[in-house]
Amino acid sequence: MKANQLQVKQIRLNIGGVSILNDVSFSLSEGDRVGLVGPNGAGKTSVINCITQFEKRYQGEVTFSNKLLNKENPQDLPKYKIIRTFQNLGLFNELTVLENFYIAAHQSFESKLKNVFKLEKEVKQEALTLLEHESINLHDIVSDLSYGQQKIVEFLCALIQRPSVLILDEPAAGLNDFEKNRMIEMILKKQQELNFSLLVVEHDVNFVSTLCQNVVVLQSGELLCSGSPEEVFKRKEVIQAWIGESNV
Amino acid sequence: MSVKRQIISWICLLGLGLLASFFLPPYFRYLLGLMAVYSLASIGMNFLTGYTEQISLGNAAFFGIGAYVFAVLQSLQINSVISIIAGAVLSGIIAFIVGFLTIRVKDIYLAVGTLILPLLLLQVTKGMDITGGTGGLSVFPLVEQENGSSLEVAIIIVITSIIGFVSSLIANSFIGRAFHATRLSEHGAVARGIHVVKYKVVAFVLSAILTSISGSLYGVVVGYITPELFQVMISVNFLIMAIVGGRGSITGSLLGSAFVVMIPALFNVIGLAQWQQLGLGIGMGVTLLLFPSGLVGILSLLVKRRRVAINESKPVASETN
Amino acid sequence: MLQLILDGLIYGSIYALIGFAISTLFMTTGVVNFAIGETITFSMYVGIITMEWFHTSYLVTAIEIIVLTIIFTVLITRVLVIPLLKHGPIISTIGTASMYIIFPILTVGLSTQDHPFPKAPLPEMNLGIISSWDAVIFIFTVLIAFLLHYFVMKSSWGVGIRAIKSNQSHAMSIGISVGKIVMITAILSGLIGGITGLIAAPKLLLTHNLMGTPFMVALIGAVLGGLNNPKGIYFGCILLGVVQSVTGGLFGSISREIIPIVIVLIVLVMKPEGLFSSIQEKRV
Repeated sequence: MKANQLQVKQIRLNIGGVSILNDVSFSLSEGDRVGLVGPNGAGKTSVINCITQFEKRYQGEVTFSNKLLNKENPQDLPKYKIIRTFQNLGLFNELTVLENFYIAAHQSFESKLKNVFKLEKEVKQEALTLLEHESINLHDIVSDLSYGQQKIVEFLCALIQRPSVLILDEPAAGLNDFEKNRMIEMILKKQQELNFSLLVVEHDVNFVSTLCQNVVVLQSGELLCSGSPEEVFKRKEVIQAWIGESNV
Repeated sequence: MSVKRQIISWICLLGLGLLASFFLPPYFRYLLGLMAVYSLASIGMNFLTGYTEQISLGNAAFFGIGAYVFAVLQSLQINSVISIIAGAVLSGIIAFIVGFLTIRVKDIYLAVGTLILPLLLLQVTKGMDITGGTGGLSVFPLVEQENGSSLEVAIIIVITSIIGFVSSLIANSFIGRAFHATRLSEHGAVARGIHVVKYKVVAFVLSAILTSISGSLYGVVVGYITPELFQVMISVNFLIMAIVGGRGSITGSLLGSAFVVMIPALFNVIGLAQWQQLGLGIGMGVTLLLFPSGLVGILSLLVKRRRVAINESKPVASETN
Repeated sequence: MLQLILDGLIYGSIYALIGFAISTLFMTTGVVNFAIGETITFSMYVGIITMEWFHTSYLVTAIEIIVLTIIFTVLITRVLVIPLLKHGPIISTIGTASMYIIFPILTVGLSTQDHPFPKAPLPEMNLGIISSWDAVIFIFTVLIAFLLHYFVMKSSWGVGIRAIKSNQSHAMSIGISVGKIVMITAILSGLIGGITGLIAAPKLLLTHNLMGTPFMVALIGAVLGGLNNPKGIYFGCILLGVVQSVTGGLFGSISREIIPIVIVLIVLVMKPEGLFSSIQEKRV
């Protein structure tokens, strides 16, 4: 049994008297691939906003390697190597792909003031390697790329931050089947290479079943059940929750 | 832009400026000096408004502080370099305090909040003896020659080029990129571990320091300073330079300062001096409407053409959305 | 002391009027029309010149001035504000600054002199403590404040204005014509601007700098109270006017400038959205 790396304990979130999350707990061990699933409005994104401290109004505990994160600011999370992406793309559209990579590597720039130029070269080299099999040019403006390409760039930018926990918010949203499969392949490959644990928030059942070893199902802000995807997606209450809401 | 390209372009710029400073007739030499001086203020304003989208009407305050600190210290026989640095440090400290206090203030509220600073200093300089009251102070040249001599302008061009080069290094380094990031997507910046508040204050301080140096040198070029330096119009002029020149671009800042100096001068030369402001107003209106990203947009239009050409020759795998 | 406060109330009223002219367009676009003050001055000069040359009556001149101000404001909105708005309110605001530069030159082109501007032919009344024109200024401002408040808060157009203010694309999707509403606020802004000129000029003397300083003070006062609601602007500007007048009278002219500035600075630091603003700061 591997040690729990990221632990979420009894998170409650109330905003304006409306309960968004109620007693959500789960944990992530080293090398895990966990999917956080649920119908629209179940509070999936709220959970990761709480983990990454973008949402500070919650009660409960978020710990990383036994260190409490509640008091941290969201910009300090990358120091713990907890890296996230955004549902509606957290890229900087007006800048080039390379500049986006540089910004992603910002923390290392700040900590290694002496070797800024050397570091720039390294980041560029690494970005080139990451983009090896993509038809994306480093000097393309991000907004000129297709949506699928932008998703890939955002994922790769997250990798350059050297995550030990990577949180992906809807990596498959807006992609077609071909792109989804490529995305899965790419995530699996990079995870093996770089050995991080993965938390994926996703709507798409197939995507999660292929990618993740474990799933946590949320419904209306509450933890419905968790387990392996094959088992969980057969359960009656899960199917009901899905049919009730989803129109995919 | 790579460091090598920056060095080359700044050396070219410096060479051209030096050449011009020795061959141009006095009036144009004066304009050249003014342009060089304003370009620092323009870059300073761009760090605020262009890079981090904090709109400030208060930069005239730093301009005036630089000018006054320099003039007062000069009258006390203190070394020019030390005087310039003293002004810059004082401006930096004030900017740090103001930037920190107004960190929650945005847009027009920030503009008005910062507007207060020059208004305050306008009254203070008018009222104090050491600043020469409403009459202002004379400023003597950096070297033992008359104001506006070739050597004088050449020295100013060397100083501004060095500082301009340093600012362009900063703008193209991780600091400049962090500025861009905070403006384009605050969430995205935070997720990359960029401390948004810190960089907004850094932009404020950087802007103040550049504007202050610009103010010190302005006194040298023009030969005298008055409390009018704290007028709102000065800040508006800096804003025009940054926005009409090109937001978030050092090249744009330089173009902007040239624009604000040259258009009125052009009207002067053809004998329509009283209409020069009209020319400036119409010029900026038209420029903004045609090139919303500023004069630098004309340049990037050419670059983009080239970029598109490169892309078209390359196969694109997935074109779905 | 009472006289100082009354003076402050009158000046504050003028600031408030300019503040309303600024805020009407700001509400829908987020753009501060920097040119509004200079537009008013120019229209006033056109008015006074036609009055001197063609001996037009006060009423005709007044209508002319108001119509001119409306036309200029609408033109500025149409040509500069709306096209530049898609690049952000900052660019749009700087765009109006070009007119802020142009209009004074045009005014100088019309006339280089100061002119006394006549008061409206209203019956003079002996109100004792204040002149009857001061009373007109005060009453008119309160009236406009109320009308504007009701227009924004209660009328169906006001609903549109507030909808655009809170979410432009959403407002468009439920069928509010953004362009139309922006133009309505531009007309309103010009209308209030014209009235402001007519009311302020007899008191301040028609000079090229008629609206120079008042515009800046009004902007500060409006921000102090919160640019988004008429009530806030009114009280913000009145407060600033009174504080200016009282400190100026008690401690001399330099404090007249400095103390209000310090107050504003404190307020902005403590409450960035303005003293009387009810709108919550946007959460990130």
